Amino acid sequence: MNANIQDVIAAFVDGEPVTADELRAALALDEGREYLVDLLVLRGLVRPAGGAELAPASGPADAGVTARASSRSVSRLFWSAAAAALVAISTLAGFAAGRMTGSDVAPATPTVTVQAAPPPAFAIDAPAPTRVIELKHGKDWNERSGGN
Amino acid sequence: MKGSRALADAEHLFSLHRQGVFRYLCRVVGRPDTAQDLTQEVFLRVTRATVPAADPAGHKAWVFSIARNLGLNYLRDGRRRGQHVELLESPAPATQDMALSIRDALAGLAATDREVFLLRESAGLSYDEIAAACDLSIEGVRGRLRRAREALRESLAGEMQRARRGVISIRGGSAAGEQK
Repeated sequence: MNANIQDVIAAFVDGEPVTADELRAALALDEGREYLVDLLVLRGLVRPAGGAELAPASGPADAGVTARASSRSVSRLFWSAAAAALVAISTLAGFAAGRMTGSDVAPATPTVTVQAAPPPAFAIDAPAPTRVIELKHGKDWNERSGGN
Repeated sequence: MKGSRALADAEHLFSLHRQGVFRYLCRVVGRPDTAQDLTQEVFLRVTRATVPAADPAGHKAWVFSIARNLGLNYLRDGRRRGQHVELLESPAPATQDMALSIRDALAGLAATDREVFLLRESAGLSYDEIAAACDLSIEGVRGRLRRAREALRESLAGEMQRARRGVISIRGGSAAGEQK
């Protein structure tokens, strides 16, 4: 088939501009009409009829959501950093104020109360030994055999 | 503000073209989950880039040129790491066997012919937009479309014969409703 006829029919099917005369001439031929049907059949085969759609809400390709999430992350980061800076400045200011006024103000002495624990019941004098071991210089105390 | 304007542009492009990009990438990579990831990557790049000063057709071509490059990169990397074998997206209206036949037939096309054909049939780009996305002339687009369709008519002759008995529409599938 003439390539020009194919191109005219293809352009018509694809929504491209064609002249009425060219289209009429192409469709006057049996093979032109057959080609038109074939292109539409092929399109029906190749294009999914709603089978491949990206989920609108849960689709991972939500660039808008991604971009907004990214924007929110930046905002959250900014406010976190601002809060941390505020705490740090407050701490430093308090420390500096304390240093400047520390000589004028007597440090508060904490009152600590220590309560003496009562003596335990067994805190009595040890009994007299029933056996006295006398250590003498030069004596071999290593156990040789037996023993308790 | 420049940043918010760029974000608004990106969101606008996302709302217009995300389904088309997803459908196109589904056909290119053959895996809906991978196509979702790649679609996300496409629009992340759109968000990060400066949207070129162009008419809507130019914007569409720009978005699909990003999708095309990402799809080609994925396929190139896939050849290094080994290909997955998986059915195409939902088998309706084609059966799974038919879906496999279509995938094989598409795989048998020359790379650029396949890209041009899918940008037209899956993504719904006009000839001008395809030419811009693929850096081709209009005549180059026409010629590659003609060649791809002829090859598919031959390789899918049996499937087309069965499909001829059913209902056909000039709008084809859902891609025809893609906003240009």
